[in-house]
Amino acid sequence: MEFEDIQATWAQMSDQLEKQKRLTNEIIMKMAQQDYKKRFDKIVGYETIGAYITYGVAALILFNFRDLDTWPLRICGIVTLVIMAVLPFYSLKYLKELRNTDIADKNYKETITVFAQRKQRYNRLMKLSVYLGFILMIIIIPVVSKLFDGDDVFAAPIKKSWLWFLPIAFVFYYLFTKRVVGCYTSNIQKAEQILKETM
Amino acid sequence: MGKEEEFVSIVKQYEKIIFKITTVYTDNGDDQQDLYQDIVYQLWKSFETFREEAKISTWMYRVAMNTALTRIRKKKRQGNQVSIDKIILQQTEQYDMAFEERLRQVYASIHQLNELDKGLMLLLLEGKNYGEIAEITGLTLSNVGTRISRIKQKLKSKVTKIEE
Repeated sequence: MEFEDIQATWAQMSDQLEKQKRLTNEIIMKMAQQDYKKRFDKIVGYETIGAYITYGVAALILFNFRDLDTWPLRICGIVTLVIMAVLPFYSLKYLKELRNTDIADKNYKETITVFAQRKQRYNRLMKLSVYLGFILMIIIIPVVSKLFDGDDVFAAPIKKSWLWFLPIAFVFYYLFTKRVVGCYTSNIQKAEQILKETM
Repeated sequence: MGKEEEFVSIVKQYEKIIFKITTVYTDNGDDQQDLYQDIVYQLWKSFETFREEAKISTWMYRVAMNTALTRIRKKKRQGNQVSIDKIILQQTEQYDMAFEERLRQVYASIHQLNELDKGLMLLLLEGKNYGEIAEITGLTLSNVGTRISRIKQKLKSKVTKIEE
């Protein structure tokens, strides 16, 4: 193909393209905010997997709830279920709200303010999750022990295996929480940076 | 006119530039769409600093080409291969078969060039003069001239080889 032929075909295509304009205002602004949303997709993905696992365990406890036959065990069971039901739900809800902060629909000040409020709310939830997760780790022991081993830790002396489990679980929980919070904070900061650059 | 409205109106006015660059620098619909989004995102990001010292089209070509080249560099680091037999000619619903075939050949010729030469070829086909091409690419005027004459020779030699 000679250069002149290429040039002629190209010019013809340009004319055709001119007639086929199809971008809308909405599509353009949606494209502009793609990168910002990508930052959150990874976190939301992890959270969703976590939520499925948590709800699976919660369902297991719920179906076997009648085996928790004393009041202390029932209270532990109820608190466990409440924490397992509420935390993933709000975590996902707040994260999705952060991700969906609309940079196309509001002015700079409004967007930054909304983002800051949502970020603050999510940070508060993250802190609360750390404490509640710690409580959960302790109160789930009597529940699991009763449901899977048939042992009531309130009636009989605690098993030696649990004494091994607790310190290991604390260390693991500390390291895991530190890493997860660090990763989430960094991603939210990056998204905030994009938001500031974009606006 | 607000900043956002102004941006939207410019992108709409010059959307075919973005389309052409994405077609030259990608080989499938998904990549093309991703690059398209990346370019609009980068344009929006740099819109703040765009002071209209340069012509709008020059600014658009520069941002779009830089985005495309950066993306290719990243993809190369990730080890992705670009094949030229899957050229996507979107927006071709209204084209006749003969024209579509010619267009396919045009893209095949361009895809054989290296990344920078693809950009130079595109700008040349867009009717840019050497001065404008130099401004968009950052090359010197003489370098643009040399490269373009090499591109033309390269295209010609390929045609000759095929004819032989």
